[in-house]
Amino acid sequence: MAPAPATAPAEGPARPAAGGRDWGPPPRRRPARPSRLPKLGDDVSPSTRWALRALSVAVPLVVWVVLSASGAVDDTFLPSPAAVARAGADMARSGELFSDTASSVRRVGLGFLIAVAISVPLGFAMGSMSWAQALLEPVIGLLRYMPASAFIPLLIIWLGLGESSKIALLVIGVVFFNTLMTADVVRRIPRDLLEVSATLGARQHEIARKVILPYALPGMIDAMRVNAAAAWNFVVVAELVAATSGLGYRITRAQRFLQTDKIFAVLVVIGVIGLVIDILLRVLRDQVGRWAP
Amino acid sequence: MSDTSQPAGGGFAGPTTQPGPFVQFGPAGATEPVGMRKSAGPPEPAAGPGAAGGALRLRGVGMDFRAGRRGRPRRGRGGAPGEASVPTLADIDLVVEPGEFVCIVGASGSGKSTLLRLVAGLLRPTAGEVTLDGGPVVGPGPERGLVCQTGALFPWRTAAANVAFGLELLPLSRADRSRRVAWLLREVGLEPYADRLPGQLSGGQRQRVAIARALACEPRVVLLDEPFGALDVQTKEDMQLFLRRVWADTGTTVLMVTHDVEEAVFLGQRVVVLASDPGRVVADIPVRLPDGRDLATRRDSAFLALRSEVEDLVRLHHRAHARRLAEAAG
Ligand SMILES: Nc1ncnc2c1ncn2[C@@H]1O[C@H](COP(=O)(O)OP(=O)(O)OP(=O)(O)O)[C@@H](O)[C@H]1O
Ligand SMILES: [Mg+2]
Repeated sequence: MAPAPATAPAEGPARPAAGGRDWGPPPRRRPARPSRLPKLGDDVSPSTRWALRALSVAVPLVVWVVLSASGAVDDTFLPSPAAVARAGADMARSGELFSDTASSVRRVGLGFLIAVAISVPLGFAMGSMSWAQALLEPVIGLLRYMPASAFIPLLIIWLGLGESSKIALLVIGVVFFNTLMTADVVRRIPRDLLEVSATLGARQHEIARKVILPYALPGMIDAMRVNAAAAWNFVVVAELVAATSGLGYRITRAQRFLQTDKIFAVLVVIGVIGLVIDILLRVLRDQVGRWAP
Repeated sequence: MSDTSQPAGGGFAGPTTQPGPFVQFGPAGATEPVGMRKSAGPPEPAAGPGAAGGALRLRGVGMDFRAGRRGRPRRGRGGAPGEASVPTLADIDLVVEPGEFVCIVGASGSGKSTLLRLVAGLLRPTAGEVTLDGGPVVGPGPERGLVCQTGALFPWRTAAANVAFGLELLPLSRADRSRRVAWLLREVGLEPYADRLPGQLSGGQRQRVAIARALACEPRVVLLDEPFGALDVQTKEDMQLFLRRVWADTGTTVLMVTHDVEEAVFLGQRVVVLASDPGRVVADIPVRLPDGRDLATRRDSAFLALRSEVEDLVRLHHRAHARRLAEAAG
């Protein structure tokens, strides 16, 4: 028999160790106290969820109101919400807000569409065929690390100050990330689905269309959602540098005249439009990916 | 999966087996570089149908995962120390007659799944050949339906749409297709669940869908790899009776892998016992029980005797294998 353990276990009577074990039972922890807080992975009720969502906007807004009302910060640096709303209303009345928004949205729409049209087939190929992966991953992985904004001077030299250089910047900023993210989604398809489709008589192009595509579509839309935010950022960056219209251009104009209230109004518009795009894509994803948990 | 496996090329919509395209979808690194893969040699002159006799025939089939694409061992691939130094399957001879129900049993690791994947065409044997009606099997195809342990249903398709998958690839009218799907769903008792997604079905229901899907193209052989392994005893019993009924109704040939000897004896007309290292057939036992099997069959003395016999065989070879492993370890 094994020698009795030298140290008695913390709790409970010491039992003789069996099977040659010369250690006692492991120490016990006291059970966790029952808690009313939501547990990890718990769902909250819809009303709580909406209340929290409202809070997430309201708290920063209140902080802003308090900060500007207290006079702790100069109005030139942090205009009050009321001043920003006034500035926004002025810009809306004069029509420049809408024309700027329209030209920015047009650029994002076009650039993002081009980026998606390039990156989805590329990513699909990389994720589903290892030769495409081997061929493309090094170069795309490298290009991805080159900051798109650093291409602005080059793009202006190549393409001039017109629309094409801004759209090119957008494409450069989005296409590599979206390709790699799409490839990652496609690559996750379970092998047994591919195998079982082949045994059901599906040919390669049918497997691609009827198995890999539906499987990957929700994840591909998720990737687009992430990258739509990036595209929206890039269009403003492009317009900050060189443009005669657009929301980024409006910001640089306002900066020249120290109109911080205008800058804030444009920032709010940018944020709201981004949020709307995000929500639309999320609704689409939830429709397409109803089967996915 | 290791990159030493040899997944065969794509699928076939036609009833015959021909070399498929050789660009294989799959995770990077999971397959060998396929861009330049050539067809695996000229197709053997197929003996005319019936010439070989027997629906499914394995002749001297061997599978060595360590071998390279052309059957030669790869350089610098001795395998991990302690790894078995013999092929996974060696010299398998097996004939399954049309309409037969054959069960394969064997210890874990004896190569049951590998054998089934060879027949399905998902792997190429490194020795010997697999033929179906005299034609060589060179890739996966709808004349050999496969059902695996997990079911592998398409999670975005409803039960009915899963069953319809193979039929959608064939030139069938929509009406014809839905008639067939409805019949299959009725056959597997899932009519009320036709519009449910796999995530909303129980494990047993999912397996029924998988079986219906495999049957939809009316394959010559249905291959089942431990289809009821993950089910509870009660459901498993139901599913076994169900499978016998489907087999009787459709007259299809069934080759089923299981590690449950009782299941094999209850279901099969023949039970093939595999031993490990290398995986080989050590017994091929006819089950002489009446075809109308029910729960009383399980209490039948002939059934019990046969079951013990097969269990003893499996155990004997398992023990012998364990002993060999222990000796090899030192
Ligand atoms: N792709 C692979 N590459 C290398 N070795 C493999 C591969 N697939 C299977 N093997 C080996 O072949 C042997 C047989 O595997 P297989 O899956 O056929 O066993 P099995 O009889 O189905 O076992 P189980 O009852 O546990 O499912 C195992 O030793 C396994 O490690
Ligand atoms: Mg197995």
